Amino acid sequence: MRSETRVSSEGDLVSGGDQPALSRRGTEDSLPGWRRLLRNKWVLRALFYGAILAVWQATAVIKGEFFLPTLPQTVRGFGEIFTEGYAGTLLGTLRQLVSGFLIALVIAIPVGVLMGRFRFVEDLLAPYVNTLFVTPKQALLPIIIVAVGIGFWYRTWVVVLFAVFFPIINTAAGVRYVDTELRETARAFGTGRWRMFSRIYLPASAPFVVAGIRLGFGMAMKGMVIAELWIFAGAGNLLETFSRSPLRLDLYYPLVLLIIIFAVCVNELLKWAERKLRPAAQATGQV
Amino acid sequence: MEGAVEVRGVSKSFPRHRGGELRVLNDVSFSLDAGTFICLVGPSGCGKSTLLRIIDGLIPPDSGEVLIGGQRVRAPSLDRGFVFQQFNLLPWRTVLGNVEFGLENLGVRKQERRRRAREVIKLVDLEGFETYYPSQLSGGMQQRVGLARAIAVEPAILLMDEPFGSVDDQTRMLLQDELLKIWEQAQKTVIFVTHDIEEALYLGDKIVVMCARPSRINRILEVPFGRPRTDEIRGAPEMGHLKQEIWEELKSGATVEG
Amino acid sequence: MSELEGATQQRVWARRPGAGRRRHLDRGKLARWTLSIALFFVLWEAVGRSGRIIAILPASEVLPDLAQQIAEGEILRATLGTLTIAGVGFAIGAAIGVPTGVLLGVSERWSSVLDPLVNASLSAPIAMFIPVIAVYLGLEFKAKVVGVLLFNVFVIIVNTATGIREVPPSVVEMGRAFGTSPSAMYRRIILPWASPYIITGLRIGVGRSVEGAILFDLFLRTENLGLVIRNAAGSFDLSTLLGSVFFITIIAAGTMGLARIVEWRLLRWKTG
Repeated sequence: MRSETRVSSEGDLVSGGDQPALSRRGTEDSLPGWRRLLRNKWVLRALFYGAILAVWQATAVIKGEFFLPTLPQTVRGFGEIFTEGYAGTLLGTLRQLVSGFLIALVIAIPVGVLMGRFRFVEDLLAPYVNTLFVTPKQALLPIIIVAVGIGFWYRTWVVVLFAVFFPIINTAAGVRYVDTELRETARAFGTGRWRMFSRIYLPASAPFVVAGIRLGFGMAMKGMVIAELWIFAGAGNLLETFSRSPLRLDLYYPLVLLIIIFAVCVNELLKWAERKLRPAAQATGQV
Repeated sequence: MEGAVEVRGVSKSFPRHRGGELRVLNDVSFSLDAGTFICLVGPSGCGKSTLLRIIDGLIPPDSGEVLIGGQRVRAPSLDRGFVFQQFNLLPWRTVLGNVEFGLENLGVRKQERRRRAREVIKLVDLEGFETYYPSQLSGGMQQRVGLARAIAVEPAILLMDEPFGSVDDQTRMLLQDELLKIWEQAQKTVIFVTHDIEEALYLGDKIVVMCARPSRINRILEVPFGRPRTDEIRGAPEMGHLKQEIWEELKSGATVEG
Repeated sequence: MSELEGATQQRVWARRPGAGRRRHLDRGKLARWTLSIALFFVLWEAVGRSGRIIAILPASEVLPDLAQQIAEGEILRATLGTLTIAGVGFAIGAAIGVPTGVLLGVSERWSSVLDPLVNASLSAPIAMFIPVIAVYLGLEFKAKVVGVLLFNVFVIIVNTATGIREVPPSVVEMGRAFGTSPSAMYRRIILPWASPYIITGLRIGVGRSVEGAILFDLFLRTENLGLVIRNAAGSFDLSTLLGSVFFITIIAAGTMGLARIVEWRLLRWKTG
């Protein structure tokens, strides 16, 4: 009855648009040009990381190359990695990493689905999953070695061991989410089994699964490095070698950089996929 | 005089996302005697909430000034109490803890704080709920806590930003009556922002009708109803006429600018 | 898991608190867990006896040996050593990580600059720095603590920053309207509001610290639990090996479980 007298409410414009609450940015906008430049995030980044590089170079020059390689040396080191044939080792590691990871997914995702879908499976497996999840898996390396030796399967199984938990946990969460939110609605409409799976479970749980894959891949890489450090193989071995006599830090740092770039690329790719799959686009943007 | 408010030539613009500026308030002026209950009514986007915040000192005006009791407003102060639409209670504090919040900032000692807080809690009819947490309370009760918090610091002026906008109709009417009851005891200056015309007429001594961007005050009218206000007024024919009148004014004055 | 933790945290403040502290344990769940664990031991025994997988000896052989080892005290001392490293690394990580996280949460500028760094550190395997940590810092306590620090600090930073960012602008405005000084703003509004996230971050940090400590006790100067592992691996005494691994697992899971309980307790009070 009172609705005719109400003016439509969309909310008044309050404090200056949606700035984050605590940002120190004031609402003054008539700033001199250079001040505004300091607000631009790329400028800030360039300044900050530029400063770091400058400090790096200075330290390298002062302390000598056994402490830190100079920037040009590092760049040269990059090239040397490929010309000296280390690329082969890296590729070998990569191949094992990928195969191990795929196996991990083949195990993890179905397990996750079962755990999410069936309460009794969850109750059965949850103690193991959760306990192993928090266990430092490096403690288990010796057992694996005793069991499978140190050949191809060693690294693969270590990767599986490290990588399998996030996909399980996140997939289970995704399936559980679908179960609670959407399933009843779908059944009310008499959706058949196949359509349930393809139209509902798959798309709705997809972002969770991808998140699990992303986090799992990070763990896979970690597992690989640890596995290789232990038995002096592959890329891990290179990291080790470059850090011992003769000290080749000019090869070490490029290698580390390569690994970081690789990890970040995969991570960003999967984050992008996650965002695309999440209709509400509520990706937190953090980890 | 302590609670007298004077707004002089206040203007405010905000930057737009795509560049340029949005002029939200344009040379707004009016003055209030102490002890008046005044309602700002207007369509969304007309800047009434912004104006309220400028009066409180939360936002600085681009030009113009606000004088309260003759003093220029520069920053928020506990001479002014503010009640928010979204309550803004601290969820980990009890009702008592929330009401005490402003008093803590005043540096009031613990015993005195408790005493004053309890007094105010009684005033808003929440006695017995002191140890409850906000999540255990209904919307109406939470807003009463917000009100209590603002009153507890004994401000000269009370500023209320659509305080009953987040509760249902029945609760709103009850809260309006409670507010009037409390106000009639202390007779402070109250500036009440709302888009609900009937609410404004029911509560206020005066109504400031604001128009949309650029904002200006269309007119200030005196509410003809006597005090204390009673429920019958809601159904009175005069109420209907006034509502219609103001509605027409707002409709024609409201230009929706992109 | 930190994201998922974050997602459920958003509902922390909205959760209706039970009357007092909900101390009731879900009896059914407890029963199923016990069953599961009992099953584990049964399986272990069975697999061990069947001799199918060479590496597995039955529980009935391993556990008594382990008990003896514990009684001898060496393994306990080793555990203490590793946990000390983890603890120190964690304390430093918390001391650095929380303020940094607050800085990132509050300041958009610092956030835009440091976010790429923090994210990269979370995607990439920190373990690859093990060799170079040895170069710069040696193999001893100091190096290990720094290593553990690298493991836990980024998680703490990210979770803290997220918590700070979640503080609603309107509550901050309320603080300002009531004349709250900047330091009081942090003490009474911002940090308490963000505390669920911060505490979760610290809990995850505990786990990472223990993991890291074991790793560095393995790869730098091999001592404490690292030595236990290496010895067991080298000796081909399967029983010792399995026993040690089992023991470490229990310790780690126990530490994490403890951390979770602490977190639960703290957050219960916060949410009333």
